[in-house]
Parts: sequence; C-alpha cells; structure tokens
Amino acid sequence: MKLDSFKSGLEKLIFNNRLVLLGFFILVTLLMAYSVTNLRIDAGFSKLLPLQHEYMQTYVEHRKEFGGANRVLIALMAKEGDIFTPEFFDTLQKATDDVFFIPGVDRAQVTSLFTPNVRFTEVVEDGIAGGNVVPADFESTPEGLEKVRKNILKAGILGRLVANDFTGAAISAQLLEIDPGTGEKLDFIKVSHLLEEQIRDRYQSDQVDVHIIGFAKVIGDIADGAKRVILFFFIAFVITTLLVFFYTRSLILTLIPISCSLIAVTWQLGLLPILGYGIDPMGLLVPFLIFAIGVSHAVQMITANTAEVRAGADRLEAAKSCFRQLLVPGFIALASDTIGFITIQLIEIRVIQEMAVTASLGVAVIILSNLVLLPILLSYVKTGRRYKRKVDQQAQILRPVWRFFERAAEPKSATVIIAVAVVLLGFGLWKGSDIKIGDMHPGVPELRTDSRYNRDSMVITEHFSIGVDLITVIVETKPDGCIDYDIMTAIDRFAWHMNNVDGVQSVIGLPGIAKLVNAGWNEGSLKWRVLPRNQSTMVQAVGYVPTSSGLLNSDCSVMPVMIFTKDHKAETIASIVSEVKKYRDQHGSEDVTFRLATGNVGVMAATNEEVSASQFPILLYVFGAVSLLCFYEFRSFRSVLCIVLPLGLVSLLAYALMSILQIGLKVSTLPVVALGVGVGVDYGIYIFSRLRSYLKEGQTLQEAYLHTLAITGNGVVFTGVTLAIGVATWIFSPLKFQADMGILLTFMFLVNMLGAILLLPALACFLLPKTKQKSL
Amino acid sequence: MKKFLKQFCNLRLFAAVIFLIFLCGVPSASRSETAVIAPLASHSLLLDAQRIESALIAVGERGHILISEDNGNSWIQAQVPTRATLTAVYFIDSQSGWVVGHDQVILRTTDGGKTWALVYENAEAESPLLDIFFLDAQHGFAIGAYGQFLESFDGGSSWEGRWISEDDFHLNQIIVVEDQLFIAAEAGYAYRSDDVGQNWTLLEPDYQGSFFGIFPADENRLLLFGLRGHLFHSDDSGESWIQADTGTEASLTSGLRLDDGTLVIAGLAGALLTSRDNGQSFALHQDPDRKGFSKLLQAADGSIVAVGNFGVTKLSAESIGQ
Repeated sequence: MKLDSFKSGLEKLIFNNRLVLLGFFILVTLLMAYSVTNLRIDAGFSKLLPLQHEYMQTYVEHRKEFGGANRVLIALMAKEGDIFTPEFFDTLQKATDDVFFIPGVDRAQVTSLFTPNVRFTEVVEDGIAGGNVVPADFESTPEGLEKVRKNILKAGILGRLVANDFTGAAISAQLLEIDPGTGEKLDFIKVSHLLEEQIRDRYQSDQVDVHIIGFAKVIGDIADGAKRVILFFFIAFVITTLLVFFYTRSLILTLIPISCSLIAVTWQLGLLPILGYGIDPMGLLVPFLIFAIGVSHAVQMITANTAEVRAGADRLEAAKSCFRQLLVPGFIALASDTIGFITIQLIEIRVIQEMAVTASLGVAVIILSNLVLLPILLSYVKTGRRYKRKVDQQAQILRPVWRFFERAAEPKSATVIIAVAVVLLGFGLWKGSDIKIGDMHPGVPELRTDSRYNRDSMVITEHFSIGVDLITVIVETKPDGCIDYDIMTAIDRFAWHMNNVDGVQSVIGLPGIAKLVNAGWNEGSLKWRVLPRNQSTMVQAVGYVPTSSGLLNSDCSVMPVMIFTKDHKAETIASIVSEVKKYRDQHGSEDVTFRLATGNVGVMAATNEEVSASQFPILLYVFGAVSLLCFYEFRSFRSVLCIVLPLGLVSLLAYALMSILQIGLKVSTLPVVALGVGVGVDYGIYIFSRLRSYLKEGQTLQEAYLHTLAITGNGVVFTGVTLAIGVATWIFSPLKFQADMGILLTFMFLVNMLGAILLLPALACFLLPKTKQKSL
Repeated sequence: MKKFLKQFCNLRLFAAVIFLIFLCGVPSASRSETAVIAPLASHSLLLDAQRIESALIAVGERGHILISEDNGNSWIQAQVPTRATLTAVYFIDSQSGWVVGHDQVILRTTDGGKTWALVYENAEAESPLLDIFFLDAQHGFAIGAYGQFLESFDGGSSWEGRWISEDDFHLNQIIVVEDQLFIAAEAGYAYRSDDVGQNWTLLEPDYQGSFFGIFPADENRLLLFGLRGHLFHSDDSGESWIQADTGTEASLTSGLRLDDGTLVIAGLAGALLTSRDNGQSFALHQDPDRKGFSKLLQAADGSIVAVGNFGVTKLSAESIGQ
C-alpha cells in the first residue's frame, strides 16, 4: 500500500537522522523562546465586535462622530447622610481635579459639580437666567451648600451628576482614542490602573465610597483577571505533571511528554509575535489547551511504547513501532482537532478568529512535537528491568478494571449502555433545545456578577438615573435634519414607539431634548413642550444641544436614539431589535433611515445574531470533517458511526448542561463545543484504530476490546481525568467567561472519555459484523 | 412612461383627496393622522383634565385622550383623529365636549369622549390653542398663543377668529364666574368680559410675568397665578389685586377646590399649595419627585388625581397636608 511505503519512508527519514532532527528542534525551540519575549497582551475593543455584521457596520461608520461611547464614570458615595458636607465637597473637588490629569481624558468634557460646564438655568420674568451650579465664590458653609442644593435641582442634573437621593455625586469623563500626551493609541489597561491608584485608592475613605465604571475599566479588570489565569495555568501544569509521573512511574518518561507539550506551547506562543499577533485576554486559555492536547497525545505514545517494551522490543525498535502504529491515528486525530479549531473562524469576530488561528497553529505544532520529536526522544530512553516490573505490577492491578469495562462490548451490557444513551439523548434534546443565546446575567458578561466592577455598576444604576444597558439606533437624515419639523417628528414618533416596547426602560433622543428646550424658551410651560413647526424656533430649540451629548453630529444629519433596556437577556434584545426592524420597514423613508445599532446592547445584538447564525454551520463542519477523516482512515460507515455518535451525544449533553447551568451560547462558549468535539474525537480514533488492529488479527470483539483497554484505554482514561482536573481549575477564574469555559471543557473531557470507552464499544458490538473477518 | 403614468395616477389621487377635504369643510389640508394607541399613554405628558360626573378625562401629547371610569385607577385611550399635542379639554355635560391643542386643532365629541371629530385645524399658523370654554351647547371660545381668539356659535362646527386686544400676548386660560368671563394671559395681563365675550377689559395686577391660570374661589373671589410662584387674589372682579406669599418659585398652573372647601393650587417642580381660608394664605407642600403638575382633579370617591409631565398619578392625602 502507498500509505505503508510512505510511512516506512518517513520512519527511515526520521530515525536515520535523529541527531539532526534533535538539533533542529532545540534550535527552533530556542528561537521561539526568544520570540515569546516579544509577546504582548493585546486587548482591543473592535476585536470583540462582529465587524462584518450589519449593526457593527453602522457602528464603524459613525464611530468617529459618536466615539463618545468610551466614557468613564466615577461615583463618590457618602457612606452616611448625604453629600452636603464640607468634607464631601472637598473630596469631590480634589477628585475632579485629579481626573483631569489622567492621560487620555478629554479635558473639555470632564463634568462634575465642580466643572464650569455644569450650569443651571431658570426662567425669570424677563427671560432665562443661569450660572454655575457650584458658584465661583462657593464656600462650604451651610448656606453655600444649601444654595448648591437648589442649583442642582434647577440644573436638572439630579440622577446624572448627583444621586437621586443626594447620597452621591459623579464625575464623568470621556476618553480619547489617541493619548494626546504620547500621540499613541490609548492604553486602556494603564488608564484603568491609574483610575485605581489616583482616584479609588486616594479618595476611598471612612466617609466616601468610590465606584468606577466604563469600558476602559472593564478592559483593565479583564486583563487583571487574565493575569491570574497564569496562576491557574501553573496549578494545572503541576497537577498534570504529578499525575503523569504517577501514571508512568518514571521520571524520564514524565519529563519527555511534559517537555514535548511545553515545546509545542513555546512554538505556538513564539509564532504569535512573528505572525504579528498579540495574545488577547480572551485567548489566554489557548496555550493551556494546546498543552493539554499535547499531553493527551504524548501519553498515548508513551503507553504504546511501554507496551512494546513489555513485549520485548529494544528501545529503538519500540520507538519505531509506536511511531508506525500511531502516525496515522495521531495525525487524523490532530487533523480533526485542527479542523475543529478552524471552523470557529466562521464566527466573524476577530478575537475568536485569532483564537482559531492560534489554536490551529498550536495543534499543527503538536503534530511535529509529538509524532516526530517524541518517538525520537523515546528511542534514547533506556528502561531498566525495574521499570518493566513496575509496569507489569500496574497492569496486574488494572486488569480487573479493564475486565469490567470490557463488558461494554458484550451484547447484554451493550444493550443497557445504548438504552441509557438513548435516554440521555432524549434528555439532551429536551434540555438542550432550551439553550439561550447570549448572556443571561446582569452586569458586564465577561466579569462575574459579584465582581468589583459589576458591584460598582449596580450601586451606580441604583442611585443614579443611568442605564448601563444601551442600544442606540442611528437615525440618518439629510444635513440640517434637526431643524426640519417632519424629520424631527419622525424621530420623535420612533422614540415614543420604542418607549412603549416591552423591555425598554427609557429612550433619549434629540427631539425629546428639543421639546424640553422649547418649553424652556416659553417660560417652562408644559403646554409648549412640543417640536415647533417654525424653523427658526426649532433652531433655537436644538442650537444649545452640544454634539458631545451624542444626540446629533456636527451637521445635524445623524441623530442617534438611545434606547436603555431593562436587561441584556437575549430575548429582550431580540424583541427590541425586531421591533426596530418592523418600525423601520413601515416608517423608514429616504429622508429618515433607522439603522441598528451601537451601544453595548447593540454589540450584544450583533454578537448574538452572529453566534446563532454560525452555531449550526460550525457543528455541521466539525462533524462533517471529523466523519470524513474517520472514513478516510477506516473506510467504513459503521466505524464512522461508532466514533461520531458518542461525540454527537456528548455535544448535545453539553448544550443541556449549559441550559441547566444558565450558561448562554455566546462568543466564549460556542468555541468550546467545537473544541470539545475536536478533543473528544482523539479518544475515539485512538481506541477504534487499536481495536480494529486487534480485530484484523482475528480476535473477537470482546478480546480485542480488552487488549485495547489495557493499552489505549489506559491512556484515554488517564488523559480524560488529568485534563478534566486541569481545566476544572479555571472554574475559579475571576473572569466569568473563563469559568464558563472551564465548566464546559471539564464536562467535555470527562464525558467524551466515558463515551469513547463505554458507548463506542457498545455501538461496535451492534454495528460491526459479529464474525471474525479478515478485513474490516 | 410607466413612471409617468404612476405619477399621474398619484396626482389624480392627490387631487381627489384635496377635493374630498374641501367637501368635508375642514379649513386646512388635514394630515389625516390618528393618535397611536400606546401602552404608556398614561405615562406621557398630560396637560389638562376634567371630571364629568363620575368619569375623568385627560388630554395631552401625541393626540392622547384618556378616559377613566373608575376614579383614575385605570385609563382607556380614545381613538383621536390627530397626533397634535392637546392642551385643554372642556365638557359642557356628560356627552358633549371639546378639546384644543397645537396646530390649532379643535376636536368635538358628542358621545362622552368615545369618538372624536376634528372640527378645526390650522397648522400653518404655527401657534397653539391653549384653552377652550363653552357657555352653552352652541356658544364657545377657543383661545391661544399670540392673542389667538376663536368663537363659535354652532357648537364648534365653525369658528371665527378676532382680536380682543391690541397686544398679541398668549391667552392662557379662560373661565366664567357668574356672568363674567375672565382670561389669564402672558406678561402680567388678564382680561374680563361683562357681555359674554363681546368686549374685553384689560386687568392689570402688579406683575410683569405670565399668568397661567385663573381660578374661581368661593364668595366670588378670583385667584390669578403664574410664573415663579406669583399668586394674586381679587374680590372685585379683577379691579384690584392682592399678592399672596406662596413660598415657592415654581410656576403655578392650575387650581382645585376639594369637597371640604380646601383650595389646592398646583404647579411645576412639585409645588402644591393649599389654602383653608379661601385663598387668603397658602401652605407649601413640596412633592419629593418634583413632578410638573398641569392639573389636579378630585374623583367621585374623593381621591385626588394629578396629571402632568409624568402622565397621571394619584396623590395621597398626606402629600397635600390633609
């Protein structure tokens, strides 16, 4: 056969040039290790967006004009009583001054009680009078504070800059994209740290609590959380190493697989800067996953090697033999992994695509490190008689265990297993169909609900009239559209329509503000709270609204309508979005186009749609590719079914688990399903390929399976458990998406392992021909 | 060619519509729009309200007309042939009523508010009507911004405009006391007519700011109030006025006489004034939410219903110091 001659050719090439190859691996590893030092954490906002999505195109188009989304809000809350104490005002003033000096802050747009842009107006007999809320001659005497209290009410900033119950005051700042000090892209992580050091640490006291929210803070907190993940990585690494040692009972046989896997990780990380990538906090888990997959394959190789050594082969022959045995199944399994990772590319969100690229790179590297380097290293390992004895003892101990599992291939038990699988299938279909797209919990979804940031945001939304869940519909009209009565009326009607939609908390748009201003010009009379038909009156009504309000652009051709939602559950978002679309179809015109959508909920809407659109294609491609590869290797539909059916059941059960644990299908969890299939198929392929080799020798299915269990099964169970323990540590991550991924991957590793050693033989018992056959 | 035909058809359709409009006798091109029934209508800006026997009726922005048959606990939105902001309502009995608003719309009902007909509209004037009042089923007045004064002698089917003074100040509210008519107006003006609206005398309390409301207290006393908490009373049909201390700088918008004789004057920014001595002196009760009140009513069950920038709400007895 062609493949066989190719295999033996490759075997000769590798084993005749062992030293050259070893030198090559050492050299490249050193180069890659050097390259790793250039690796940067690269957290960007637009990377998290599905930029190809209709909504995000709107966002990109209008980003320049309405970049104001990048706001930081610092709330100082009085621990006792209200804000009207000299101490509180002193703190607020100092904190306001300090905010000015945080790099990247747009100084013209800092607002707090102490900034001159916060003014009050009042209607007096001969027109409108006004002044600064905190007057220039302010003194923190009871009289002075009382005056400020009155001015706050007149200025209408209650709920925005002052807590509704007067227990706190806020400082609002906009961040620029480019740091004017350095001329470089603003480093959000640095800003986040400066906010901690220069604001929170400095002003948090017995009297005042400091709460900070804003996108820069989210990014900073995610990055900080991600750093702690390195600790989890380390813990998982130690646990894995210990377990490998426990498994192999040999220091050298522990060091070899661990270092091969580490080499794979080093290459993968080293390739990133060379290819121009950084590492995103969202993608920090990939190196660990690569390590895990590397160990999983290495253990297979070690187990096969040990079996050869026990059978009496010398070290070179043993290495060559397991190279021959595992080259094809190992390659097929790793190719399946790679394809699993590549399909994630279908989600058009850059951070995910980067994850797909880096993960498939890593798996490709494993092909080299585990299928080439590992056998070479093994060929140098001299295992003494003592080792053989230890392994023999272990095999003795395990024999009854394998005898027990072997029954899975007997018709009686197989029937039971399949019956249980069918029940689970039903359960999976029932619960799995309940799965929700998107995020289900309040607060920023990347962080835990009880994280500092989400607690801050809860305090702020409780005391201020500020919504944190916002979807903005961009209304595009013609230049000077805001002084056209018909256009303004169209926008006003849209805003009111949306206000009435279930799930909407409040709506803010330019027409609403223009009405208030118009009433203001008419002695504050409520009867004049309308859009004036007269154009010059309309000019008066909108002329004082600054573009920094985010409600209009400089030539007044674009007017966003901000829709604050009561939560960001997927159903809420979907119903609001569909209502906007319905309205747009009925009432949109050439002059007025309603475009979805920006704001954090706008991003979620786009992401949810992207995820729900790609979830079936991803699974289809993963399973399609895995089936094709298995068919290529085993040339039998029945064999493909034996491997793929358990995988399908486990994926379905993973959906059910997500639905039970209220983990939504989102950017961070959808890849896990694809990754899980990729990892799970390894088990199936290794077990099936060894099973088939024994069947080919003429053994009965039960005999063949018992022998398979003793070698491959041993490795599969070991890696399943080891990897599950490793990823289970992520469950304690401060980042919610990592914790979610941890839960799901643990489940996938364990249950896929069970599927491979229980369901696969049970299926084989019914699907494969009973009689001994020469070829399968 | 096709396009041309289509345009031609559209033109014909347009002409037909215009013709129909003329036939129906609506003075200006009507934007045949009806108010949208909205779940939050009772939380939208409401500007006037009236109690007619046991029913309550409130009007406000976007053509909202709301009716409550259960003393203000629940509200049903009526079908209304306009989306203009409605500023005032007046019913002469349980069936016949009129509503005015921006775009100078005047609506009429003859079935207690269930259905409404648009009897007058003049959007091009770019000024609103601010109050409406009928002396009887036929004779009524609609007043508005820039001295707008309309009169009808046929129950509102047709309206004639004229000027009642040389000034063009906003005419804000019109009431009748015995056989005299009074109008509260902008810039410290008020008017009185002793001949059912034919001639009007200028009244001049000592104030330059606007009066938004005029209210008949007991014993023929008049209360006139408006901008920045200013409130005057007169016992001689407006010839002389005495200013009361209100303790608020909020604009005052409307008055209500409770069943027990207490007078309540409501205003913007949560101002609620009560008087137990027929308007001689007032106590201020500040609403903590600083609601902008445009009208208070006492429902048949005695509860106090308020409308304003918040929509409609019930006020507790404590909130007005009862």
